[in-house]
Amino acid sequence: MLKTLVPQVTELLVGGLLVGGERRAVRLFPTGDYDALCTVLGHKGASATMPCLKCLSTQAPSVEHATLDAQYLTLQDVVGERTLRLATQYCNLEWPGQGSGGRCTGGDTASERQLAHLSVQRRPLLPADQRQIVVIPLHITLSVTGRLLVLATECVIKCNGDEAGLRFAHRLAALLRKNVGVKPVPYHGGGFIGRDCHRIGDRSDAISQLLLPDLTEEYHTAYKHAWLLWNRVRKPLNRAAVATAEEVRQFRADTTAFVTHLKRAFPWLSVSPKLHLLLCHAAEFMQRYGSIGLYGEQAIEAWHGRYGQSARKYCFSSELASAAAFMRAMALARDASESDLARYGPTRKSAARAARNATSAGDKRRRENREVVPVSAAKEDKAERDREKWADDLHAKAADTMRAQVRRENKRARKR
Amino acid sequence: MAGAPPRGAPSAKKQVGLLEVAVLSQRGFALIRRIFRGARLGMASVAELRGARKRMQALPVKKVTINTAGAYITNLSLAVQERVSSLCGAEQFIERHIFDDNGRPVPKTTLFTNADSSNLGVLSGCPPPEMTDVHLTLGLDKGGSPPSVKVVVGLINQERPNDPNNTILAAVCP
Repeated sequence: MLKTLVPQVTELLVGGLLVGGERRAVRLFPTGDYDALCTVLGHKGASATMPCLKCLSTQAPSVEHATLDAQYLTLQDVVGERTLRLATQYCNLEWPGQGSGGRCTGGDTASERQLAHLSVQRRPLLPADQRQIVVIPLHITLSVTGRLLVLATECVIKCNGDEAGLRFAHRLAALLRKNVGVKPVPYHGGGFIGRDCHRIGDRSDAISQLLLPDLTEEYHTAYKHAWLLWNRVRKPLNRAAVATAEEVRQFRADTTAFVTHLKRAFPWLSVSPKLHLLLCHAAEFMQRYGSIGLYGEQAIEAWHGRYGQSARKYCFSSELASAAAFMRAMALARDASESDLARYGPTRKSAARAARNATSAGDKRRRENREVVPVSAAKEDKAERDREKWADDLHAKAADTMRAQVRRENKRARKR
Repeated sequence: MAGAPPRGAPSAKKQVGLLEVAVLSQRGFALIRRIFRGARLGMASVAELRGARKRMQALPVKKVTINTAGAYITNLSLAVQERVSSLCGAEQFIERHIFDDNGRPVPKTTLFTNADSSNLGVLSGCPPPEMTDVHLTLGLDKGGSPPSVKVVVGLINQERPNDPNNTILAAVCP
């Protein structure tokens, strides 16, 4: 599918772009969700031995790849210098096996075989410098928020057992609906949309409060601190503005503190490739290009919504014909972009900070003063069922993790 | 009979684009034009809109190719160049910098036209930091309902690069 576009992208890179009469080079930043990035770069995916697209860290410590673990560290290590992939690996569109840059000395061990392909199984579809691969702020936000909610349930299971965990998951679902005002969506793996993740982050105190009777003091404090640290990271991660050197320094310190705290306080937590991106590569990207949010993948997600909204207008005999009609219409829409329209209408400046907040008790902007829109019983029922399913899934995920942790602890105990 | 449209009103071409952005039919637009006497304000008639639409669809930059996998922009370079030129024309092209280890922007002193042809980085989307450049993102994602893969090109050298109106939809593969 992307192969059709590759010659056009290549033409763009080779030809450059004309800016005010001067031809400029194109700096290309691949973005999208993790799976899409892996597809574009020919990588095996997030569950590969070397899951990171930017460095050579391995997934988790293993006997089979002990040499690689020692040399390049694992995703589970929160300290230590990472070995980045060679710039030529994706740039030169090399076939698997050529990107190791002489690191592979030949041999038959698992580590040596791994070094020959570095978890890249196909030739990259597009050239890319590993430093320019976007650290996907939206998907990191979705992933971390979801993980912190699962973590709350895991903590309850750890302290009070499986049954208490299930009860807590249902209470949490109700709290998120009633007090926070968010609901899970059928996409994003049944999680929350980006805006809802920010809202959950802003009202994380309510979740910590809900946890209070179920957790020991130690876990409760640690969990509350995890949200505090994440909230410090979340905003600069998604901000679409150039950060100052001081902000970058602070962001680097905050990401390290956040992941280090998670690993220390909740030892069963496994660092996912996205969490690893946040820990090891996000600050680097921000430092080099000034911002992460500017290069984010929010626009692609917005296009899904626009395509769905326009489905009725561009309804044809086949989906392909509908897609083509939509594409033609959007090609015309490019003539009414913001920059084109700015010269016709008055431009509005952003409101001052907190200028639109409710100031009086009777302000209609307050939730309690809003007119209640009647909702049908069927809709209420469906929302309730969705909420229960979300809570059951959350509990099942947390219970699985905790069972695996118990198995690991037992194994360690037997060894001793 | 309406008088001549005021100077500085959007052209019929821009109004066709506006209809697509606002997901408004030509008929709806014509109704608004009639009720609010839009001709005085420069709102184009249906005939003008049709003519402008036809002319625009004939342009190479607006062409769409279809194959078994999906619908694609026929000439991506032209589409991106159109966007860049529009930004430059509106003086809204923002320079984006690469920062050094001390957080200082690297001065852009090298021209693309002077680049060494043996420098593969320049031709593969990663020119040296001191070269004048345009920052583009190329995103790929599957989603929506019904699900389809979309390829989106974003231009970072502008005010709101994540606004879908400021990006280029390069392909839809249902």
